[in-house]
Amino acid sequence: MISVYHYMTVSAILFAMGTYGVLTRRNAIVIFMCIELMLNSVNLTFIALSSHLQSMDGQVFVMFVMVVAAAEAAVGLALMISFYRNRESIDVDDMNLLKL
Amino acid sequence: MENLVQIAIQNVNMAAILPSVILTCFGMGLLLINVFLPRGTTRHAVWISLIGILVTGFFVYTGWGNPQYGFNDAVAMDNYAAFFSMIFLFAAGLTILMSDDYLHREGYPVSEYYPLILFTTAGAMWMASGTDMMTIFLGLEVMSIGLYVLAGFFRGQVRSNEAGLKYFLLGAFSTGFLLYGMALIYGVTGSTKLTEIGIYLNAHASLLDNPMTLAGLVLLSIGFLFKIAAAPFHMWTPDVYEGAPTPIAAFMSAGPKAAAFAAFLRIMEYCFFSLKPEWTAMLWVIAVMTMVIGNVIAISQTNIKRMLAYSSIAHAGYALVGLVAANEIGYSGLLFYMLAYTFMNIGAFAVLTLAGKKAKRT
Repeated sequence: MISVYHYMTVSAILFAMGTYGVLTRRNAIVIFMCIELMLNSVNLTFIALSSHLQSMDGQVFVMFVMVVAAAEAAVGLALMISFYRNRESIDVDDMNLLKL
Repeated sequence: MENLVQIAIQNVNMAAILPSVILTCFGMGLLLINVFLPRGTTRHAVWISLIGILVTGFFVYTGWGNPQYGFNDAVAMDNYAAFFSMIFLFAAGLTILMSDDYLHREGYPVSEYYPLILFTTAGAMWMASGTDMMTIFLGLEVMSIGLYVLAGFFRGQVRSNEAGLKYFLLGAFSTGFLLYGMALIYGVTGSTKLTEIGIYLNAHASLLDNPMTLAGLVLLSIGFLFKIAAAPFHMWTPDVYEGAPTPIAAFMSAGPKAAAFAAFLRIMEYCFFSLKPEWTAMLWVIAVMTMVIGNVIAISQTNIKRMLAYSSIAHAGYALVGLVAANEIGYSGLLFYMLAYTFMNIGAFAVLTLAGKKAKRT
């Protein structure tokens, strides 16, 4: 029987994978994909808990998260494009102009 | 179905969101007007956005002492929210006043800049007036997305691009932590409303040392401490302030920081008042680290924008002390400090805007 704990475990693993990806990857787009993975693992947590608790709040929250993630993707990809136009690279190691 | 409609109509109280709706309308209208005017004219945008801020400020002021609750208690325009809204409006107004000349000098006389500031301010107001995790999250994101664009506003300058992209990647990363914390708290208490969470946690003492509650509290704090720029999560601040347009750095150091404090304080006081010993123990360490790191590293900076960024980190540490005190005097101290800090810091950046020449990077 699959209980809410299984869902919570899966989403915790997904969240950890996303965090690991953000910390280790060097390509800004891959980092952004890892961030999306983190957000979606949160969505999974919300949905599992919402069904477990028999309350709709979690599912409504997921809608908000999805809308916000879409808006964030639009802005983030635009920023990446403008960075690429100037540096011809999307590698975070090339973001090295601003430092001490 | 009829019941649902009735519930929906009863719980909506437009007065609770009136100021931010007005501000958003001014922003939208300004975007529309910009379409019909030749590129490079920005003076009208300055006036319209300032009028919008004044009108919004008037409605915030008239709402003082007359708290409005709406949307099934998800929004509370009380004195606390009104006070913080005034701070955001001051920050936005002062930023707009010093922006026009700077944008012309830097060669980006683009009037879309002003609606973005208005939307960011509206998001900050939602954050301060949110009494539900959803509205706080939504406000935080409306604010942050506007700021990502503003930080990378000078499209042709690599430094500005880099600042925007760094802020975006780290901001979205911290949003993930914030959301996971909210999800865990929701799982423990079964509600997203701050007051209900607080009552539930207070009534079930066994939940207080539940790992899920504590993990939720910590993850939630990480999300807000990032926006506040407290010590272990402060690394983005100097980079973003240096690369972003100077007025935007001024705005970021005042408005959004105050907004994050507003939401953080409300969540801590409404949800986790029964966990006060735990979170004060966590926050005082962070406050001390923030003050020390901010001030010590500021000494060795050669770039004045970076130095001011570290100074703003240190100020976040001072303001956190009010939160660590965890009583009414501490909170009122925090509120007063944020108001004073807004004028002080925007003044410092305004001098920098005036003194910085285009040829020599400040």
